[in-house]
Amino acid sequence: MNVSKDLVAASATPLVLSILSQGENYGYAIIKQVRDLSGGQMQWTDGMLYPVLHRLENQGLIKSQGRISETGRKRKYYRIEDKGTVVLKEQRNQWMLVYSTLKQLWEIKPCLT
Amino acid sequence: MFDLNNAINSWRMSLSEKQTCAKSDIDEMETHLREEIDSLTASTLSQQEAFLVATHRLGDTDSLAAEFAKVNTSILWRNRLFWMLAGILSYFVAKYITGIASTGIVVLAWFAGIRGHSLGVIDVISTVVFFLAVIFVFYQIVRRRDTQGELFCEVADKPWGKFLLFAGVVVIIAVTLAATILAQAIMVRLGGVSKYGEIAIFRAYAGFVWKIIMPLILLVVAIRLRPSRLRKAGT
Repeated sequence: MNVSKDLVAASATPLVLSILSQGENYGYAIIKQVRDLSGGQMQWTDGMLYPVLHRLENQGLIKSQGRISETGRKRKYYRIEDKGTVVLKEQRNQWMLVYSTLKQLWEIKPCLT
Repeated sequence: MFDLNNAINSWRMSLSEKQTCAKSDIDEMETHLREEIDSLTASTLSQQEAFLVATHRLGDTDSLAAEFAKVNTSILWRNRLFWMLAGILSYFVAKYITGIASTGIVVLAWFAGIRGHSLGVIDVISTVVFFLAVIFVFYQIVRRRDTQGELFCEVADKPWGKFLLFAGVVVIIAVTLAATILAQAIMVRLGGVSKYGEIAIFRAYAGFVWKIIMPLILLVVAIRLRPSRLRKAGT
């Protein structure tokens, strides 16, 4: 099952913020985590993550720091800022609302009439 | 034989040609690419196969560049401004070098006993030849290097490089102006004011012809360097 492009784009921000709220991380690992959590079903075009990260950084939701990894590569690590935590909370409420609305509609209800 | 570093370099090149990604953006994605290739080669894939899969997963360079363009709106304009300024500076350098060379030739011709209209003709020909030579040198530098102005960056990145660039511009302008004054002084002292006035008139005629020819030369170069030609050659 492929998730539609619009939904992928819309969920990118809460996904990235949620992953970063668990601790700082870098691009490749973020994508890997999304892939693993969705059982490989949510397939991003990997490169699209980076413009998202940079946009979030421009908005002051996350902050990046370049460091040398244990394998000797130059990596850019991102961590969530206070403003990002606030936005994540808002996004979480919105997504929960959408989810609970759809869930009620799709639940199999006993026919009472 | 497949060379991973070569392949990654040409991937970087095709991305930087789009001029919407900063160098740090491309660096970050290169790290991603290499980590993906490492994990793919750890399973059964060869380096070449891993490179193909990893670049495919990362997304084609066109849509990546388009996505980055939305975030990096200022980078595209910075690049354009850079090339405009580089063009203006190159023009001044070309003009000054041409000026000093043609003045030198005219003075030499005058010493050789050439007078009258011939001086004007010599002035035009030497100006055209020197200007073409300078433009040809610039053209070769741009063509050999990639389109991000790497030679300029290499020099400008170093502290002594900046000093060298400033000093170079000052020296070229100062030497040209000094040489022009010197040439005029020599001609006035040795030939008298009326002779010098005669030469100045012929040089003015030469300037008239040259100012029509020069934009035409620049137009020819611009047509040869037009972007659509590059795209056709690339496919």
